[in-house]
Amino acid sequence: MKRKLPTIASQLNKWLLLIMVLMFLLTTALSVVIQYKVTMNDTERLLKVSIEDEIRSLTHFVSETQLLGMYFVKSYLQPGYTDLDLIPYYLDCDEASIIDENGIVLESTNKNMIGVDLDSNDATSGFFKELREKKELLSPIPQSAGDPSEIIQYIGTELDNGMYVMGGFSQDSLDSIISEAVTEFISSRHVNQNGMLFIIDENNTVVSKPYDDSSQDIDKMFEGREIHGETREIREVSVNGVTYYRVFDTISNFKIVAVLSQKRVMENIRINLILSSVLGMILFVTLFISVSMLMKRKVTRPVKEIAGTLASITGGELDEKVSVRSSSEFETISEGINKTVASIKKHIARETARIDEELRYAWEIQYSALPVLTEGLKNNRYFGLFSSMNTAKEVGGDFYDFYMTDEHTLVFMIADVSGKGIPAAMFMMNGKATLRDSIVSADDLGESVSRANVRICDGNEAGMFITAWVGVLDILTGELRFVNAGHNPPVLIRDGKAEFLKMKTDLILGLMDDAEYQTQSLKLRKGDILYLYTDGVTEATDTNSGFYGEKRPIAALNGISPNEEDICGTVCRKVSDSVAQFAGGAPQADDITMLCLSIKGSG
Amino acid sequence: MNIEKKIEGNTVTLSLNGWMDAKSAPEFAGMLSELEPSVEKLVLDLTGLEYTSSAGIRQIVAAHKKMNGALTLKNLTPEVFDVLKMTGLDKRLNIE
Repeated sequence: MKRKLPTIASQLNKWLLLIMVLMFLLTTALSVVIQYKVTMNDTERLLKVSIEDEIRSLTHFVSETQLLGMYFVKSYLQPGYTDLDLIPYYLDCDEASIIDENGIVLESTNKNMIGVDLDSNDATSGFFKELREKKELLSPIPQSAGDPSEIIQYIGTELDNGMYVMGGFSQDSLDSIISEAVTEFISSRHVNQNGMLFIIDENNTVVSKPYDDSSQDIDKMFEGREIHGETREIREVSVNGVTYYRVFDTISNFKIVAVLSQKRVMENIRINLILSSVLGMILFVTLFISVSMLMKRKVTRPVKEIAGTLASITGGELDEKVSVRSSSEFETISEGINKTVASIKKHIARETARIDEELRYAWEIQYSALPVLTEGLKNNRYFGLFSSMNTAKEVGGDFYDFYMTDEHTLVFMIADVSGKGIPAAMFMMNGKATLRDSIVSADDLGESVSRANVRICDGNEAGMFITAWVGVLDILTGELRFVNAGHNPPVLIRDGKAEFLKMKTDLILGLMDDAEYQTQSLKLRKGDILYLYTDGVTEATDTNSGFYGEKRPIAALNGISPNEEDICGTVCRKVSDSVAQFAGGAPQADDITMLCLSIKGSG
Repeated sequence: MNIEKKIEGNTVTLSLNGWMDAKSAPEFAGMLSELEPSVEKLVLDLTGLEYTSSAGIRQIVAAHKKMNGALTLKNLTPEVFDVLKMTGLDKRLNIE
């Protein structure tokens, strides 16, 4: 059995599915990488921003505190400045000085500073210059210095009398201000929802953390641990088996640390991945279904349509046209098929014409083999003769023959070769010639037919046969001898009454070479009419496939008067008309062949 | 035409139904050529055979020759019997 090949659609579907799955895996892998990178970036930025925010807020808070102190100082110093020693107390600073408009230190808690010209002092010239412009100034919080008692930050303000008051902060005092700020200043200390921010001092003691309880004691886990690494750089640290992302920065001696649990970050990545996978899946499934359906519509359906039309063309419907024009490819195929079929049709038509031509020649040869009524036979004073052959569309095997073997002996016969077409015609030509060869006199008619039968049987591999009725008439006496080789019984019309000739039947010719044929005899009288025919008459069909049969010709021929002119022609025409009327337009299936003999006069 | 085949030992019975003409006779010829060499007797049950053309007669004679005469026709309809009688075959074939 032929192996059933997979359809284009199923093959393409398979490949499509494979490609889709691969693409899905690829995009998923890509999105894993991208998600991870993006999330890590986001995490780092989040941690950094949190720290920056915290430092900014803290710095701002510290500065505000310091400037507020200066505001107090300024209002208390009016109008005199006898309480110089009180200024460090107000400002939480280490030293305080009063400076005149020329930048000369008039008074200071630091005796070394008195008389110093600030404009030419390296440590203060920059600050003082700016103070002159801004009237009130706080220098930024610097990084911690080596010596904790060295002055590293300055604050100053212009007094109403044009002089200036300035304070200096050492690392120690700045630390204590920041330390207060760190513990007092309350910002959210949260990093996102899951991370936290805390501040540790130089002993790694947590000095500030979220005020609510959502910290889950993360800070405790970090307490007492040295914070390693560069500032503002993300690091993965493991504490008690839990991994965190950590960024820190310093302000003064404090470290601000932001941490985010890796587990939470990964969870976010996972959720995003699941979401993007599901979306990808939906996308690819939709794509697959759409492409699959499109393929069905654009490929499978037109192919099926073309196959269907091809099947009916193969089945013989050559007028069928393929008209799938859904795409240029199918249009090309359709037109190609149509052209091929048209070309085949042209060839068939040409071949058919040729065969028809040959068949016409064959028929002409066959027809010309039939005898023609010579003047002598036509106007014979003893008998009348008429023959007709109405051929069916196909070449058939009917024939008749008549000839005189001497002045008073007329041989006449009608025969029908089995089958149709060229084989029947060829067999007929041979049979007719053989019979004419064999029957040369009235003597031993049965013997002559037997001889002819042997010759016809010889080499008849195809198993064809001939039914024949052969008569030999002595035209002077009306003595008729005949042989019936399986042919339809002739009709004898005597005294206006038509009936089938009673006779014995011998085997059809061509089947068995040992068949014997007996001579039968009948005395014909003046006025007798003998009508011979082939089964094309009795088996003519009407539109309901009913047979013309044997009663109808008898009925048509009853009551015929023999005295008519051309009585034989009349007889044949009567039956022909009757058959035509019966058939009622049904196509003629077989040759309709007739031969009629009338006895005009005799002894 | 419709043909039914029945096998009983070395006897094969073919039941012919409908019309045997030039179009359907090859079907019968095909069944004839497919007969096993071991078949000794062929019976044609013609109960349902309404008509046979000359092509059908050729095939029946062919069957007669192939079986070396071991062919029996039975249950002939009058129409078919008339044809056999007219062609003189009724005397040559075994008709029950």
